Amino acid sequence: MEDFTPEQLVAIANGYRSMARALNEFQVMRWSEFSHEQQLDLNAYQNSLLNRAQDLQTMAVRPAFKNTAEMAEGIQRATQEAKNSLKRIRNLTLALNVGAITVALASYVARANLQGIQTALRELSNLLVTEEEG
Amino acid sequence: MCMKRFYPFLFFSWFSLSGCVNLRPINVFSTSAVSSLQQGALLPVTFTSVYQQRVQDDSLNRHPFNRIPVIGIDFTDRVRRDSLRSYQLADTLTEAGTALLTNYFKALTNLSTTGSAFVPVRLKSPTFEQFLQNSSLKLTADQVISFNRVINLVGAAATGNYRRRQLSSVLDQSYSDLRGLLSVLIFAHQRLAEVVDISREQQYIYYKSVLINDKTLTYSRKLDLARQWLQTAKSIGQTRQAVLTYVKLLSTMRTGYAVLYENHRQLTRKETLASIGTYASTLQQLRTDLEQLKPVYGRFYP
Repeated sequence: MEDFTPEQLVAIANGYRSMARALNEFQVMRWSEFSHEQQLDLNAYQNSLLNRAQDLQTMAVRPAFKNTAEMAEGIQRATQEAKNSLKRIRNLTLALNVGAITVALASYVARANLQGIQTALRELSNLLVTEEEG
Repeated sequence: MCMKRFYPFLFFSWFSLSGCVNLRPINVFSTSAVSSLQQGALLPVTFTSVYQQRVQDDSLNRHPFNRIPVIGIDFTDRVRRDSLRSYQLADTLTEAGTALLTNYFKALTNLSTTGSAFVPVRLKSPTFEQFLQNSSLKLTADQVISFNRVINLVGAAATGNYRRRQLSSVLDQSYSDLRGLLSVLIFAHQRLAEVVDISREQQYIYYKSVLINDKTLTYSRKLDLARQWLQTAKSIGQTRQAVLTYVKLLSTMRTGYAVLYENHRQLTRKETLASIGTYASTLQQLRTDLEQLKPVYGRFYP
């Protein structure tokens, strides 16, 4: 088991932050279409991602994995794809689900929960396939 | 015969001179470095203060104002602070690193001061090793060894007979460790600038949350909230700028220190003196910039 390098932590934190920004952009662009609860959920997702990013920047969390390089790359790729998908998605529920899974992914990363991470990555991938097919 | 006696003397003099260093540039640079490092303690933000603000705002954001319009009198005591210790450790490490560097440059200043009595400098962080053990900022084994070597060196400078001729060997011994220590501090403050920048986006979320939670807000109240957010964003931007200026100050110090080290055996050369002088004046300029970014009674000036 090895810790992420400071550079990997910073890169993952930047990914979370970009995702929070993409969610914010989506929310602001389509403000009137969201229900009260959906607005609160979107806000909570962004807040959670920013808090995780801040914890990583301070190195308050130092998750350890067997292959950190591969893991860091997988997390960054997933957040990048999630962020890009928000530019295309028209369905609000789908967009909210992408946000929720990214938040779950960040939570599993903080706890170094490998199984949770793999599940989140798989669900995110399935969701993005659904979005492309739709 | 006379010349034969003279040669050993010449040789000895040349050897002594080449083993010595010119004290003035070292004195100028290390004095400037001490003043610059002291600015670190005056930065308007720490990892801990950002974290405390965040958890307080998070709790306020979650408070059910629609059902309970007031917060409890001990609200701040009840705020959850799960990661507080990690943020405090990040501050402790940067403070301890800054103290160590300050003491190192103070030692250099005292060793290079001409015409006055030697003032010993004592390391003020005897528990530095403990900070390193628990530090939340990730240090490599080499960095930990570097930190400890500097501690020992400063300790030796305080108690030993290091003076003029020994300055050269002090620089030789400490150069790579000091570079490492400065790099760690630069990295830590870059992280602090990022943490501050993220707090600006967190404040934007709190601003949105007021709009979401109260749909009855009047147009002028919405406008006021937007103005408040812009003011907050500006103030956080200036705090971040102060941290980034300090990062620039540390980076200049690292470059200036490298120039000082590379030329420490030929510090009498005019161009070297000018070069060190440039770094010292850049540090002075950055300190002035930093001075202007400090908050006064909660506001920034100019």
